[in-house]
Amino acid sequence: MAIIDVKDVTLKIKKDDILKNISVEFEEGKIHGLIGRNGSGKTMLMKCICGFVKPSSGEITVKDKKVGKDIDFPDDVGIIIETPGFIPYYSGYRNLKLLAGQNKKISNEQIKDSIKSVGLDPNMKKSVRKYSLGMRQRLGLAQAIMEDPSILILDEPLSGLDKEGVTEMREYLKTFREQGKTILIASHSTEDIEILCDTVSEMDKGILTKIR
Amino acid sequence: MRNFSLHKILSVAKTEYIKWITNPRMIIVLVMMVFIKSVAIDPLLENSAEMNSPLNMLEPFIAVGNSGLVLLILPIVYMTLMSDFPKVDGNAIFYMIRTGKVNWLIGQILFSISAIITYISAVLIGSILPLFGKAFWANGWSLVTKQYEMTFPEKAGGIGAELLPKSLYNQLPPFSAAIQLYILIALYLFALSLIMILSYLLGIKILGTLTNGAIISIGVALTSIKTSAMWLWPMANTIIWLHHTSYFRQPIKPISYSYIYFTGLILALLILCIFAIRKSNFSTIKEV
Repeated sequence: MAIIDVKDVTLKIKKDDILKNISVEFEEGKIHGLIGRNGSGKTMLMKCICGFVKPSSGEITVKDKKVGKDIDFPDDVGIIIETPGFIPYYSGYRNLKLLAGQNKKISNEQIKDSIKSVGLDPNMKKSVRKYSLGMRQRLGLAQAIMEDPSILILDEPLSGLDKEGVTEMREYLKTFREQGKTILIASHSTEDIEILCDTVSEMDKGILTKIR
Repeated sequence: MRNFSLHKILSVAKTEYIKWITNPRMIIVLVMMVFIKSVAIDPLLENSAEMNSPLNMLEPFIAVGNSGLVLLILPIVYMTLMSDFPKVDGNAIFYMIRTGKVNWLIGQILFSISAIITYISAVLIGSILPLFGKAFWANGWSLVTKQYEMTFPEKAGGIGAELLPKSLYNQLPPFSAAIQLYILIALYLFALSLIMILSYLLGIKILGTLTNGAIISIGVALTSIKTSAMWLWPMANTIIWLHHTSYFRQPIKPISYSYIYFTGLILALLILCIFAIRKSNFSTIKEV
């Protein structure tokens, strides 16, 4: 059953065709990979699905709700789009606490658990500006998963991680799939996509082709 | 669409405020205060020393807000401090997806109001601090302001004497002048903020910055030549003494006109923002 349904989506910015008549369905409980070069349109498709960018034409439905019509942004979605940004002078936990305060769905303990689950120490006082890129990526993932969403949209979640970090992150993503979450992941790395994904689509100059 | 939520609005405003106030760029405010002290406060203190008479505690702030030069600098510095407003970075999208567009927009507007209050209060406090022990606190103008030109006629037209003109001290008591000045500057800066947010939502942020630059510079130019067209621009509507003559009760322009002017401008911009947010794209999300 498709949890994300992209129907004939076209995106034009100024005179450039960023996305060209994209139609794709992403099934529930699987990891879906998007590969493609820089500037091919992967991130823009993700931004369209998340509701940050309104397509020029076409329709996107997430969990039976039309994005931009029924809802501004899809409910029950955790995201990482590009490099996760945080308030640099706050600790990782304090940043996540501020974010979690928006919806008040989870307790402080659950925030700490999500930080632990990506291999970070929730009691670490270090401010985020002193974090390495890999630590920021992990915190970004903790941010995405902390409210236990059923869909994760992750743009390059493995970039900036060392070999060990990549292996660990892959394991986290597999665990999320086992928990029944649907994951849409964009990556440059064909290796990540090969190892992780149940379906793979390639974006090239705004055209999406399903290759697995 | 997501529901209006005061909690989410306040949360967005709070987070944006924290990001703004902890930005190293805030050092510019200190530089501006040094500048303001030299062009507006020190001349008044020199006059006070010459007259051997204290100033009113609020007079330097009123002088700051009525100096054409400072009123050129004040919005420019504010624009610099808010140059990335609304800051749509990797952090903002985490908020946006949890709050919805309208709550996020209102949170941004509330943040800009908080930033304006902080900014003008910093100028107010910065104007008052150098006067501690040298000034009095009362709702009356000092002898320095009222009698300096009479005492030293050869210095009439000097910077210190020009900062607080007759059309101000003959027409309004200092408390009223300070309060109105605070509100009018706040409305001026708020209008600039709304232009920034509207231009972002319409995807023409650079045009918004240029528009604000034009509003500031044209306002200054028209105000300096005192043409009636200056009343169409925020600058003249912010300067209280321009509304009055030196002696006559009948104002050149009623102060109520300026309040109506700003209210109309701000309401129009707010309505445009609410319409624009529905169709806006956040395609240029910047990294922190």
